[in-house]
Amino acid sequence: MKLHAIKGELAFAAFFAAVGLVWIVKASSLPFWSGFAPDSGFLPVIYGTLLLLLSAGVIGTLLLNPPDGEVEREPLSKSFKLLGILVLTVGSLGYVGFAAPLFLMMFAMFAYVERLPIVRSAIVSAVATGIFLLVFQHWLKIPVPITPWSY
Amino acid sequence: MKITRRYVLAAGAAVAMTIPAGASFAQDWKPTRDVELVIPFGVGGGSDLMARVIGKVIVEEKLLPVPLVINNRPGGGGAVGIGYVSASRKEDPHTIILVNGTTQITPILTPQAKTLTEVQPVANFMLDDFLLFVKGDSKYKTIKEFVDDVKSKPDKTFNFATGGTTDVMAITIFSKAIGKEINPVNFNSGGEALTALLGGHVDGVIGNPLEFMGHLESGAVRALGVFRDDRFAAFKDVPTMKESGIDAPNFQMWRGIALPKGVDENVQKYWQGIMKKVAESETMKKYIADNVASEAYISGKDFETFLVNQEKLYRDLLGKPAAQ
Amino acid sequence: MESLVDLAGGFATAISPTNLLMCFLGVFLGQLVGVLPGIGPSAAIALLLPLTFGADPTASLIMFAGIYYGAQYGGTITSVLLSVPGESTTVMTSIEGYQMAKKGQAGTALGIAAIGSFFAGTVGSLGLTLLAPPLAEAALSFGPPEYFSLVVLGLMALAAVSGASVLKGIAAGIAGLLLATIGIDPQTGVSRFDFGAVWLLDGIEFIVLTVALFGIGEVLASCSQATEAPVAEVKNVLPNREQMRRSAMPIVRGSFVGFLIGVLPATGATIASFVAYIMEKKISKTPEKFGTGMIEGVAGPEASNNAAAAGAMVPMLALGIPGSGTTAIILGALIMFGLRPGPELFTQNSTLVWAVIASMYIGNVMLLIMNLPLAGVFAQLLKVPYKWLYPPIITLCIVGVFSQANSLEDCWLLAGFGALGWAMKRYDWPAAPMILGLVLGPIFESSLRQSLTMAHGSFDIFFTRPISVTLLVCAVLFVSLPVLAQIFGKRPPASVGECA
Repeated sequence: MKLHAIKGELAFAAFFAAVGLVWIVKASSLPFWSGFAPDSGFLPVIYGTLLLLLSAGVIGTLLLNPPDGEVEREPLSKSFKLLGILVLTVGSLGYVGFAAPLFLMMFAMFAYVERLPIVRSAIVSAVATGIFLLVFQHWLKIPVPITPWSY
Repeated sequence: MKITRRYVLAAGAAVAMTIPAGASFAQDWKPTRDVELVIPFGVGGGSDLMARVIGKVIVEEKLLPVPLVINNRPGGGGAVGIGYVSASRKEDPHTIILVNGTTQITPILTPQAKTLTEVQPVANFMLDDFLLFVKGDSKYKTIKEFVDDVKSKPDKTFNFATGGTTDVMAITIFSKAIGKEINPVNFNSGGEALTALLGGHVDGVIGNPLEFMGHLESGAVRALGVFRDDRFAAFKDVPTMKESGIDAPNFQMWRGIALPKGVDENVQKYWQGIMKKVAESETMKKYIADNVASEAYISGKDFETFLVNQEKLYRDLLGKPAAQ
Repeated sequence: MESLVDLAGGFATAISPTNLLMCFLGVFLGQLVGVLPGIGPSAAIALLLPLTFGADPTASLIMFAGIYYGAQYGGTITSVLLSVPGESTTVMTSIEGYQMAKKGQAGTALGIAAIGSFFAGTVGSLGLTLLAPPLAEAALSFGPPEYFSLVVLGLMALAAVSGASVLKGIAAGIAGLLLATIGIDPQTGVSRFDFGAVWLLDGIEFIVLTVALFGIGEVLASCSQATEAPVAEVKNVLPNREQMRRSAMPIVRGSFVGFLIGVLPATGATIASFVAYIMEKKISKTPEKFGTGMIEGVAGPEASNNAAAAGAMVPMLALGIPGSGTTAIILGALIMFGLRPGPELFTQNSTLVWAVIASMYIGNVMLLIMNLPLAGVFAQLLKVPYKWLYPPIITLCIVGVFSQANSLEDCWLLAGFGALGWAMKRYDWPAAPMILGLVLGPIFESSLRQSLTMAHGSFDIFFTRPISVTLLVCAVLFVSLPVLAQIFGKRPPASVGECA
């Protein structure tokens, strides 16, 4: 029962431990020492080991002293929706340029996630997209690909 | 995936472009839409500045009938920019890219990086020289005194600061020539190497003259020799290595312009013509002089031969001879 | 004093209408690019460089310097209001400043940042005026072993102030060091941990991680409260007497520490702001309240990053050695104008150098005048309900991060690390140590290698050089003092546990 309350936290610490493990494995194929000084693999192995141990420590502390009672957490669903939209947006940038995905992203967040009035959402999204592209593309001369034909 | 889509677009455009050009007269090709100048380095570095000078000359002297767009694609010692051009700009005559010694060295050290064979060299603009510096209050007045002392001590007694891979290669050349190893202490830039020399943390530096000029004039550092076959006009008093009896080859770093692979012969001719005008402009000449480098306009087949020889030299120095 | 006479001459040049205009243009542009994440002062200067080819060098350099220190003011605005650091130097501000904004004190946070920045900018310029040549000489005695020991001190200090969970704090710091190893190893040219991706060869850009962890992470973590009422009221911009009293010493300390760190080549304003924050937390009588909107945590780092920007001009002008990315580009500009950076610059081009230094006093006054009223205007932004605010914030993060290297892959990193930042917030893993690790990682590794190469493999080099050994002793004291204090019972154990 208590384990249920902290399983997310445990999984997250385990993720860091796994990253440490990846670094140890990958670094062990690199040379450790050359001449007088450490080579490319030396510090990464140490970092990986330390991260593994520290994450294990976090897990151990959690298991030994689980937090009393249910921890108040924010609901997850909205954050996941936003993250999903963000990933879709970034994924489409390479195909259709920046203007459409950025507009649609903001519009989806306003109108779908936040249930705001549709017309106002569209106006705000369009204006914001315009301002950002004006500043970055036009004033700062960043070659932001705006449309699919800008590539 | 996006690469494929871009490739199709770009290739389609290129085909449309090359068929009439190949069929008609050689000089007829002219850019018909915006030209993209790709800089495979971040804004602000030496090569970025040179590319921007090229861009400025092209725009100011109205060398192109179309606008020029500058696009920085930094990353991986030029690998990201070269990869970008070779993947999504293949055969596109409206793209030019800055290339330099670093873009040639990166793939030798990093196998997954695209090599210069992925682009079509057009012209070289300048060469950076390498000099051997010691601190101004050093007991060594000439390169001979210095070399004699190095030879009398065990290998790797002397520490030299370096500002990058090319400096390490120069140290390798020097070590091979005198038959004693110098211990390279690697820093991230010429400026940091200079700091280490001025602070007395190392015995000497081999590097490009740019950062050292102010300190040479004030006497804070002293140049003992230059890695070239003839004397360097900016430093008439500094002897060459060969003069001082050290058998070191001419060693310089180059910076030039390339096109995507597979562009038409006429297109290459067109761009060589543009680059020649750039090289002859006052702005470019001033830029090269301010950077204490040498003008060296090499184009076409000569440039390709030059690059093949450079590649062989780099591979030898890095101990990675070409496969086969 | 001689330098004061020179400075007077500099003022005479700097107050010409053209130079005043260029100074204003510089600080204004600096302020603008400071607000935008991704675009920093170095990119802004590089983009403007070709435009100034034929222009007057003095006027151009006054503008470039203005962009540099103006950006330190601008970055604060988004850090405080949106928790998106506009510049890497304002990461620490987004911790305390954003919490202050949530409490309705956004105006005050921006106000104290402007006042602190102004004070520090002026102190920094004064230091530059009086001490440039001798300080530059002193900075040269910092070789690789000294940098190594300095970084060790920084990492230990970090461990000592890691907040509620020391274990998680250190782990996050190590994770940052580990991320710093991605890409081409600058010492050997070998690529590591690139997972076969060419775009990872340059490693993970600092601003990408920062914007992701603080910007996206914050939005994802706090969007669920988004339907609640907006921050009720934007209070005064001018801090009240109590807030002034609390900020005075942090500003003074931040100015001095920031200036000294800025003078060291290869450190720069980002590290200076971290050190100032850590210092304030360490000195504070209530370190446990840090992270909840302590004004000291805004005042100290903000003063520190501005003083460091002035400090970084010291080795640049006096020795021709850039102390940061931005000064490296200003150095390139000097060369383009046919000036030789180096010790001769002060003697042979003294009019120019002193005019630039004088313009820094003027520019700081301009920034203060611009920022105090602006702080109020910007703070009004928070009256907009958060649900209307956060989608444009995400958009700003995406476009800003893209513009940093025109790279779509960086946008993927933004999404990935944004999710990580959200999880870290949710499970109370501090994000700042991870960013500090990413900053210090390369210096740590290269100075270790350089030192050992110089010493032919002997670790004695760290213990035989006086500055290095002093720094190491400080590092040991930093972690051991709280423990010793606990053992000898000088403090109640509970409070030690909180701050350790």
